[in-house]
Amino acid sequence: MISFLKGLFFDQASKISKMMEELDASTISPEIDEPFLQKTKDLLHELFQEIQHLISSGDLDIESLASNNIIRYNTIHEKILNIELFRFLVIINYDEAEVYFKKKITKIYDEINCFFQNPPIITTISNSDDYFWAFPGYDIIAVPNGEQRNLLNLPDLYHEMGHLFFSQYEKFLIGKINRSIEAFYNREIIRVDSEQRAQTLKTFYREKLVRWASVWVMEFSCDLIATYLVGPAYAWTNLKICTLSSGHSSIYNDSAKHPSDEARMRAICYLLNKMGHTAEVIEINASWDRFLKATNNPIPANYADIFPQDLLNELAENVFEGCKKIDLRTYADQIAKYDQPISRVLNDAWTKLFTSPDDFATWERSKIEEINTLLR
Amino acid sequence: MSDVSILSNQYNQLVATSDKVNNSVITFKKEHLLADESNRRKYPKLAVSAEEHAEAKKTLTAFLDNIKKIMDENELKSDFIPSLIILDYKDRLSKYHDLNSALPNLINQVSNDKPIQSKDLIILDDLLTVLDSERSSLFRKLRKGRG
Repeated sequence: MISFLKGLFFDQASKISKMMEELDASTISPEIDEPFLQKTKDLLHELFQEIQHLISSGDLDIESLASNNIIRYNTIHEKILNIELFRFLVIINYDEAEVYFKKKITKIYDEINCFFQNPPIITTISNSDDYFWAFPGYDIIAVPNGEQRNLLNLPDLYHEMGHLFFSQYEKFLIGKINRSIEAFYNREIIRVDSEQRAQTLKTFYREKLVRWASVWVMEFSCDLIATYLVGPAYAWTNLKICTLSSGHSSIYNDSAKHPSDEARMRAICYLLNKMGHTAEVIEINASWDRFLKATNNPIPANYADIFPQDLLNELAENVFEGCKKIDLRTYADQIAKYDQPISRVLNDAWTKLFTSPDDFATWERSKIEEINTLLR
Repeated sequence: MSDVSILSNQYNQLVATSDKVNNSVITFKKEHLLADESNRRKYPKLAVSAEEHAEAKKTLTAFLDNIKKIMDENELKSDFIPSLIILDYKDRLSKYHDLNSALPNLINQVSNDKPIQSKDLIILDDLLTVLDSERSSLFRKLRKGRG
């Protein structure tokens, strides 16, 4: 057992050495962000040293530590995979699409006045099912392969950028919303006793409180940041995603990872109204109401206590003020300064889709070529 | 939008907990071994510094206290366990029927520097097994979220 387990750690060290060799090869794109490449090499080197230290520590020779050493092995295995999946593959697959997105995200960061962070690496290693995702710890955003040829999903890139801003400026962005959430649920828990409601509601409220504080505040905030930056187009893109959720009867459902689509839409519309997009909100709400009636998804019990409008409004106000504090430019301010920022093209795309759907594909192609020319 | 952003945060929190608790249990196991003279001859590199002991004691006391709160008081907040898995974690712990009665004694042993017994180490190993399963399961979700 001892020599077997020791051998496994030697094998892990060997795997890391091979990955490091590959990162030193001349086939790596010269366009890849140098600090990202270097950090990946550093992380691999640190893991390599951790294994070497463990091998020489003598811990692997102690039979009664076998279970602990297996846990160490499994954890190191996950750490290697983590680097492989979220950094190594990004580097190895860095190609023309990534170069295009690099220019595009640099332009967007300029338009939104984001100087407190370097633009993240955009990788196309995702797929249509996994859609857009961000890994804030590694400063990467993944978009589906081929996404450089689309415009209608791109507002979600701003949501993922929101995750990167949130990881840096959470306190500025959310204000004192956690206090309000806690106060709301504590009041509800007290009411369970005073109004002799079912005791199971206490667990229900405690669970929702934890979800709000740990995950939902972040998700709502990223929606609100995207709305602040890209305006009505974000609501339309969100409605597109909701169409898929409705197929699983999930419009009103929350999960530990996400608030309900319905509540997200309410928060987005509240902020759009505050930003002065009143006419667009009337149009969005009309479509949204018809959508809710057509899909007729079931509303869970006590739904009003899960996403009260007051909490959504307060969070929207806080995020709006937070974005101002960190000096991000609103959608309207981007237009005032740049006339044709990327965010405007995305709003035009939705307008075009509604007004001339037959011409949309041709229009989209020509717009993307126009952006390409601008980025050269 | 996939769940990678959320899962990566929560996974990192759990890895930090799993590493810290595992290292602390290793420290206590080494001290248990060091109590036997024959082990010192068998493993010449075996040693535990005062700093390692203090760190392990601090980590395990806080970790065990938190488990007790989760099990006794329906506490759903934890600095050790991410919110996404806390209910599942509680459920897995509840399958160890003797844990509830053994925890107060174990906390007392660890926090007051009383010698750790073999039966205490078995409980700590059980708790590590639960953490290990939760961590692996969360990592699988993170990988799946990436596609």
